[in-house]
This record gives sequence, structure tokens and C-alpha cells, in this order.
Amino acid sequence: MRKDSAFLRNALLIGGTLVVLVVVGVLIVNYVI
Amino acid sequence: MIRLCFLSPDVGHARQVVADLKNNGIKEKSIYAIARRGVEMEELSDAGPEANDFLPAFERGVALGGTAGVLAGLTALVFPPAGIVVGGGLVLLVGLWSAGVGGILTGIAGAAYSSSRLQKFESALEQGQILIMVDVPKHDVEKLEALIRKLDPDITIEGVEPPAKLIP
Repeated sequence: MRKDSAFLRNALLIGGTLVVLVVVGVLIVNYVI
Repeated sequence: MIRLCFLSPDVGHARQVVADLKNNGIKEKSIYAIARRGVEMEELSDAGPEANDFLPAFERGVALGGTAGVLAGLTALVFPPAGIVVGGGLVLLVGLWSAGVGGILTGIAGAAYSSSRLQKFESALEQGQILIMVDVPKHDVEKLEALIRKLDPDITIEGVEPPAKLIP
């Protein structure tokens, strides 16, 4: 049960960071072009 | 909240302490137990987020990646590449992006190792002792320390800050 919540927490952290990466990536590309 | 850490000499003792803690109003989700591979834990709780080094590695990765990214951005600011106007905004964005990449890559790599927060307990764990961690409210610390010492007066209890909870 608790392993699941630790897994969920890590997954959320990775997922959230990936979203940030995509958004920031788009902003950088917009900035450069 | 304070996290109390102590080493329990064997599974029987660990089970007894955990039962005592639960009887004194500590919820199961606040108790973590870690033992060497192969020690039969049965109904003892698992290590939760301390089971691997993902979170500490993630934090290190964000710090390292962010620093590297901002440095790269500043370098680009001083020596601008042909055709690109580099401003402060871009430096920030590149820093943020690098922090994210650093965090993810280091975190995933760290997940393969045991938690670096537990390094100082490693030799005791190898000898078959069991590390128990309990998150307790600050005002209950003395009461619970006394409770833990009741079973074994020689036990050393250390207090550390629990890691911030992403999901409460």
C-alpha cells in the first residue's frame, strides 16, 4: 500500500517535471526563433 | 513533525516497539521499517519513500542541472551565438529546463540505489538490525522516546527532519 504511494509520488514528480520541461522548451524555442 | 530514527536489535523487538507506538496513537503510515534484504519483516511497515534514493538524487540533480543551465545561459549572454539575441529571460528558461532534465535523469538513476539518507545505518542493517523511523508531532517527542526506551533502555534515538511530503 505505502510502496504504491511512494511510487505515485515519484511518478507525479517525474510527470510534473516533464510538463514543465515541455512548456519551458516551447518557450525557449519561441524565444530563439 | 520530527522523525525519530532508532535501530532495533531484531524483528521481535521491532514488532513490539511498532505495536506500542500504534497503541499510543501513532498511525501506521507514519512508521517506516528498513531491514537488510532477507530479513522477514512480515506485518512491519515498509520503507516508503526511503526505499530508494530517488528524492535526494532528484534534489541534487535539480541543483546541479539548474546551476549548469544558468552558467550555460550566462556564457551565451557574454558570448552570444550568431543570430540569437540572448536576454535574461532566456538564461532563466535554460536554467529551469536544465534543472528539470538534471532532476529527472539523476532521480531515475538514484532510484536504483538505496537511500543516501540511510548511509550511516548501513553497517548496522547489514548486521541484521532493523531501522525504524517514526514521524511524531513535536510535543509528543519526549513521551514517545520514553516509550521506545521502556523496551530497551540502551537504544539510541536520533531525530531528523522528515522529507517534505509531496502527497500528504
